[in-house]
Amino acid sequence: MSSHYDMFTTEIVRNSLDIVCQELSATVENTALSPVFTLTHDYSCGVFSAIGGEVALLARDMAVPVHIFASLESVKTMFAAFGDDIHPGDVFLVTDPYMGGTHCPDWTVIKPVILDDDTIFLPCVRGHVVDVGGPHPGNYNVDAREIWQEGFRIPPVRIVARGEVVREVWETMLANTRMPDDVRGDLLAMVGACRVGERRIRELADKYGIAALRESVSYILNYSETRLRALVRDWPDGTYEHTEYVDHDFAGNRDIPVKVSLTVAGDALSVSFDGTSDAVPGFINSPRGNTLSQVFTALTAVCPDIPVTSGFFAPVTVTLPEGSLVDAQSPSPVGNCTLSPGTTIIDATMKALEQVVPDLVGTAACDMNGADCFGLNSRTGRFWVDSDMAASVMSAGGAYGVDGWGAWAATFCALKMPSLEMAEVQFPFVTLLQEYACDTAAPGRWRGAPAVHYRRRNTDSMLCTVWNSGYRNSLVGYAGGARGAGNYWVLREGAHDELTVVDLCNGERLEPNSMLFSQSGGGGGWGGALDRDPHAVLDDWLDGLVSIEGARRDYGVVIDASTSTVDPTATAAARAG
Amino acid sequence: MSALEEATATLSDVYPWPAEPAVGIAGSDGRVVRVAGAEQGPSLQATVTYVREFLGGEWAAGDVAISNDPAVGCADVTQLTVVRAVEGGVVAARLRIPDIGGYRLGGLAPESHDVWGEGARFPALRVSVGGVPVEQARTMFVLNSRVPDLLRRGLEALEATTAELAAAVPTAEAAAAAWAQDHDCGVAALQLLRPGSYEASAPIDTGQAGAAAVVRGRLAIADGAAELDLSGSDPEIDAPVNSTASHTADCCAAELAARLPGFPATAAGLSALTLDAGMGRVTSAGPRATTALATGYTARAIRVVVSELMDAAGAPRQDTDWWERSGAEAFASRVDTASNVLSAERTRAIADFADTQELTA
Repeated sequence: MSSHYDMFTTEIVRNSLDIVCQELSATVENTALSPVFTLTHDYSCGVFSAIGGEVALLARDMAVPVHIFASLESVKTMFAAFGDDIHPGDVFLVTDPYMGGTHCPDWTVIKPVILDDDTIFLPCVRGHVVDVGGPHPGNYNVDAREIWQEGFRIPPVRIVARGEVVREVWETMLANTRMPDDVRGDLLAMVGACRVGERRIRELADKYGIAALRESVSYILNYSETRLRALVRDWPDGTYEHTEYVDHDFAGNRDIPVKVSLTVAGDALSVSFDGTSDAVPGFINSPRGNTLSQVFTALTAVCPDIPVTSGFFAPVTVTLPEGSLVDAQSPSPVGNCTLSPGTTIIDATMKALEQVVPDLVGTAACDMNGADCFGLNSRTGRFWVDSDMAASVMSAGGAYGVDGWGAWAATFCALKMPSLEMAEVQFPFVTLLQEYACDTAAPGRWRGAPAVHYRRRNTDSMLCTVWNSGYRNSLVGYAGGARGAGNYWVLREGAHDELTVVDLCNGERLEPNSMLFSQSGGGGGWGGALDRDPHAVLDDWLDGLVSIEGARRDYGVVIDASTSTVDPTATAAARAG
Repeated sequence: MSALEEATATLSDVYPWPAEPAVGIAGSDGRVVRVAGAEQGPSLQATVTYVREFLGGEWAAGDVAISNDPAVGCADVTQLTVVRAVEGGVVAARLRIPDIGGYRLGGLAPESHDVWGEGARFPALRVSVGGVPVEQARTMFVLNSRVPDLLRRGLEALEATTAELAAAVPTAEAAAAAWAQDHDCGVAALQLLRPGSYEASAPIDTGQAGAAAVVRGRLAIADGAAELDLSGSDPEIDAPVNSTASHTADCCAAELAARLPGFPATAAGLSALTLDAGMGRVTSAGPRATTALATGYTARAIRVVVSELMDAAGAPRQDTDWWERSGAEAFASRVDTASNVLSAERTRAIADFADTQELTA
């Protein structure tokens, strides 16, 4: 770092940009319409810069990493498409997975804030809108074999020109969703948030001057880069490999390999996916932006105190074989890429890192069960579609020193568990159960989060599509910890035509009063289960998370139920045996 | 050969398969007064009206908009209409494009439950403003097709055709006179029918079990006025046979023209009677409905109903059975009527032709 920086100013600017991101996020949360934004928080906010032609991520709110890292690609694509044809008051949007997106419903709104000819800041919001047309409501089309079967594709487009809404572009986008009122509201919230961001950035420029902001950008990027290089320099040089497998591609292909070769060389890292499967017919192909996001999700998870900016990415080279599962080319379908193979990409990267920094790794991936239900709501007469995220709330695993916690893991860390009551107000079902299931936590010195069992009663007729993965190749464990419990669904539970789904079903009819059940398995454990503190196992028994039998079987801990104590002698014998 | 007929002939050569071209010209008030090609005068009018009204004050000479949305004029999403604003009027041209995304090539996706499964919707999007191409709009359009080069080819042909027809736009006075003439011809032709009230119905026969709905019509001729009421038809159904009100109007106008000497198959001609296609019926599909097969099966049923009403009312011309005469053959060239998806022959033709196009996407 150069010495001429005014450290105080640059630190103030860096922190101010973080606050700008938080304000963007609060604006979206408080003004969006659909539950996927307002309740589940399936959106992310960041501030980017374009100085001297270099586009960089400067700051983010507590974001969904798969959103915000991929947004860097979206911003670059926007510049590539519009070049110098960018004017004050313009707002842009891009969604296409092959133009810097991830999957079709992830919309990225970008507002250039032009401070001078060569200094542009870009507040940005990327969010998952509830529907973007295509054959399947909600856009998780398990039958997709090409991207046109997944929804409306939007290249970089100007949606506000010099402050004026480009009405015909908005109406075109909204004609291609089943939920135009919700999407319009969410889009307005994203644009509004970017306008708030512009205001704050201009205030910073007015207060400190453009030159100071440019210097701050340089400092911010250098700081992250320097910190990561310093850390990596202490890691042992070498190449570390791991292959993890995706359950299936929803098109009949099973155990699809994702191979990661991580090379540490001095203060630089390279990650190669040579040996990974070619692109597959089903809808799990990952475009470049998504794959990079998943890799950086793993890397940032093992470096939690380094600010995540483009500087963080600088020491890392990622090699993606063109046309492979992790660098899919149009028209491969990609609808499920953020979950699968996204999870597997993170797991494989993290398992390679396990060989380098075992004490820092843990589950950073997201659970892989999902379901969409849709139909006409008899209370409102309106069409509805819902990806029931209450059914897939778990994925955290154990890490060194801590058990898996009750929430999503890093990749979806900004998501919130949706309010069951609000869901019942908005959708035609009633939740009967959402709780940890006994003996489902991945054993380990620090165990994973237990699986969540979820049951609901449907109050209207509806169609249900399930896309499930992680049943056989569930979330991995580390340092000897076991895998998570895995995912599955039961449709029409208890009825004569009950259907257990471990991979997929499409358009299954659920009648009023039918039951829908799911298990969302938690993340993996860390360390050997026999190394777990017996008193922690006792605590789990007292909490109903492990049974007497499970304590003995999985942890070699013998609990005396009559006294609610650990039997140390029997435990020692069991562990020795 | 008129300029419009020449334009239609030119558009016929855009693709090496029947693309059902249609063209129309409107005066400064947006009323389409001259049409040629496929019998789509009323629906061309609907598209032109929507585009003009939606764009409002932004709409100016040199602008070119695309529209394929069944909700605002087209029969299904593979009908692409280009609407060009010219000095003193509007020119519109329409082609059936090979693909606009959705579940299957060609927009024929019987498994779809709503229009989005059949393809992308473009209600009114300008691809040129003031004569300057809008690249982001063009890219968004072709990005949503499996055959972007073929789509670009169709779009460019429609743009060229509408530009050539600019010179044929009538003056405001001539346009008003043409509209009045068509209207009067329509009124005169309807006078050939016997006063009374007549009813008829016909099933929409898709050849598939369980998908049928019934089109029901009532024709009332009294006191010099005619009313054609299709609102008693079955509600729209979960099958791709729902006809938009605009397409229903096309079918009615075409059949009336076939049975009544002098009846113009135009919006002005149709304005001589009151047509009620209903709301949310299989003859008046809502914006979510699947419509991909309406130009075949449902058009047939609508025309049978109108034809039977003409028989009952004593129309002077005999039924020439549009379906037997031309409808079935044209439909079968595109649709595999056993499965109701794009025919293998058309699929091959599109693939072969796409291979010959320079990739520009």
